[in-house]
Amino acid sequence: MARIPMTRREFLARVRDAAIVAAAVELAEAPPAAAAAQSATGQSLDGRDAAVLATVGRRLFPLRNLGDAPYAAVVAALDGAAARDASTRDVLTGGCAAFRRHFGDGWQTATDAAHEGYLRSVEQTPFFRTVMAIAVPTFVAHPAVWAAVGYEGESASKGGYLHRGFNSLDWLPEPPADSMGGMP
Amino acid sequence: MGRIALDDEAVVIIGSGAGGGTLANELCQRGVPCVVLEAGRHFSVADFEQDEFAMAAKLATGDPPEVTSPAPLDAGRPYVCRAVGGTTLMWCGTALRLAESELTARSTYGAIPGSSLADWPIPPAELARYYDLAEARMGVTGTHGMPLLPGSNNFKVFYNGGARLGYKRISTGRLAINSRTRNGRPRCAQMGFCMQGCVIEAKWSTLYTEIPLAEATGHLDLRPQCTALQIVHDARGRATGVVYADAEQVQHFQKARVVCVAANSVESARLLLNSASARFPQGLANSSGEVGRNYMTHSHRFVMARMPRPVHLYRGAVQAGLLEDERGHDPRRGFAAGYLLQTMAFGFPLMSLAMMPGVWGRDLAEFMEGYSRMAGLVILGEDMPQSGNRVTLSATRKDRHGLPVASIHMKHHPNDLALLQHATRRASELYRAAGAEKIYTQDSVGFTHNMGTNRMSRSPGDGVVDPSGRTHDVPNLFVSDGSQFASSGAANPTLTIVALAIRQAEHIARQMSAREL
Repeated sequence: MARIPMTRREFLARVRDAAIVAAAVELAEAPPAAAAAQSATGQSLDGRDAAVLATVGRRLFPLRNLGDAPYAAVVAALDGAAARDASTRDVLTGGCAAFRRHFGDGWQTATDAAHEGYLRSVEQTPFFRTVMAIAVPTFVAHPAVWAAVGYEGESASKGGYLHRGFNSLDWLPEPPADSMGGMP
Repeated sequence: MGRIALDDEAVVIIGSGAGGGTLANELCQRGVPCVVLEAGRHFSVADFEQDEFAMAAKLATGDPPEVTSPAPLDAGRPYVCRAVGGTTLMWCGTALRLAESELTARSTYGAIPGSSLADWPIPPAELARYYDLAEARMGVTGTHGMPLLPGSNNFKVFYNGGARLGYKRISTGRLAINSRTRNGRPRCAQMGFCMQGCVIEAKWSTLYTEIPLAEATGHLDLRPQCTALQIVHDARGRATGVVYADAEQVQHFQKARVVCVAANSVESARLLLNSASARFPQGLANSSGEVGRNYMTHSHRFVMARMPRPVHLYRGAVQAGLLEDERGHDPRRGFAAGYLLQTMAFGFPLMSLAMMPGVWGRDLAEFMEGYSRMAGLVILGEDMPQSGNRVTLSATRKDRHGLPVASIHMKHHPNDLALLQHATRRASELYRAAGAEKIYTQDSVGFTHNMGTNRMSRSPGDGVVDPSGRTHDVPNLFVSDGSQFASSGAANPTLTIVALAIRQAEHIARQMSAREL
């Protein structure tokens, strides 16, 4: 079952604002993330840890028909956070090492379900919470994800949505004229 | 722009939002010199970005409060703007009057155990004139010849679901958003991002209406990045001025003939509490003990529905949809007071964070992949004031000036929970009736409506301010924001704040002319 049980939710609710929203704000203020093509190991984390985190990212956000770029961006953001803060780096490297230890040498060939099961078992750990706090804001801000989910983003440069589909829905009856204003 | 000397006894207004900004303009138009101390920056519209995270960072408030609330409200904290214009930068624009039954909540609902329910000490008929003036000032759709806004995709789903349930009072609503060019501001281009600052100024905000109008009179001295620290009084118990810190953290004392507090409900109460003195040991103007108490935030719950076909709910003004059938007191439903359903939209990033906190894996992916088919609304429920729901001073945490930060303690009243349960059921039924596949619900963790912490009362023992917003204890100290509210009603607070400010300015100007202030 995907939704975190109540007791854990209470715990996460305490850290949610502090961690995830603060991380979102920090990411908004930070310099632009490295280009997706740039090696994610350029700053702090090594290739083995980057590989684990890419797999973790794919289990956190198992969207279909999504290329590599958003997951690479997640790894780059985690790498950037590790570079900025030694305790973050230690939490991430420690968690990646534990991940590899759990599965042994064949961690990359274990099934998605097995990877997910392991992550479910470590949801309360600082490693998992740290990954979520950075991965979620990074992933939801990625243009490839927007394209995949059909979100168009800013509209001011295009004059808004008034003549670009703001009321194009045609699979329900039109509301009556007295419930709304006319189109200019 | 007028420059007022620190030794000149001006009207000193703390805060430049819906209350402070409107009050300043009303007084300046009457020739009254005003100093406005605004803790936040003076942005221009060019600073607005259609990026939810970036704007949250820019408009973030100062020190976060300490929160001692039990779950589930332990994650709740105020979500307001610290900037010239205050929360009018990020509000959604809904401009509704409080209903007569809500202004007389205690008389209408009767005594509700565990609640400090009270009637407003202003006759509803008297407020009507000021609501009319406020609607004309702000340009509210559906009033004064301003047409309703057109209906978005999200509104079409909302309307159809509501109509199929038999609801009758559904429209795109009363918003202070131009549906035609008016007062030099353009009509809405349905861009979305209302909460990130309106980049074309179609939505009313004091930043680009009341403040520049006041500046044009030559009587306004607006001081951004100036944080009021303490209000000082003399041996006669009259306010003499305000100690504040400027952008370089240098402290100054501005003398005042009149002081008006409009820093939103948490900071307004905190300022009075931090202005305690030998004469006012519980806090300035707090002989009643009510400063900080009766804190109301409305019950706010998002209900999002994945429909079978595309909606693209982010296209358009985020709150142009209103269903009022469940507003008002109908105890047959099993609770007192009532609620609104209002359309609500978020961009993909904020929607994911707000609706699916802590969720990952297949459930999150399913939510995300369904985004383009999401319709959404927010429940706005009247919440019961409780004496124990309050803002106090933290015993341990201090701000950069050494002053205790605010400490917030909130819990739901059983009536709030019964109301929310009913509203959630009806909202879900609304979307199912329109064909929804899946419903998601989530309580808002951001308190964007903050009311009641300096409540209005007829008797000095029952509240902080009198019917004109003047504090019972200090004759030249006023409260000019939503902290005056005696009940929350089921209405977004901004129109009432503006109406009260227009009314209060009349009162202050008249009393100053008569040398009574």
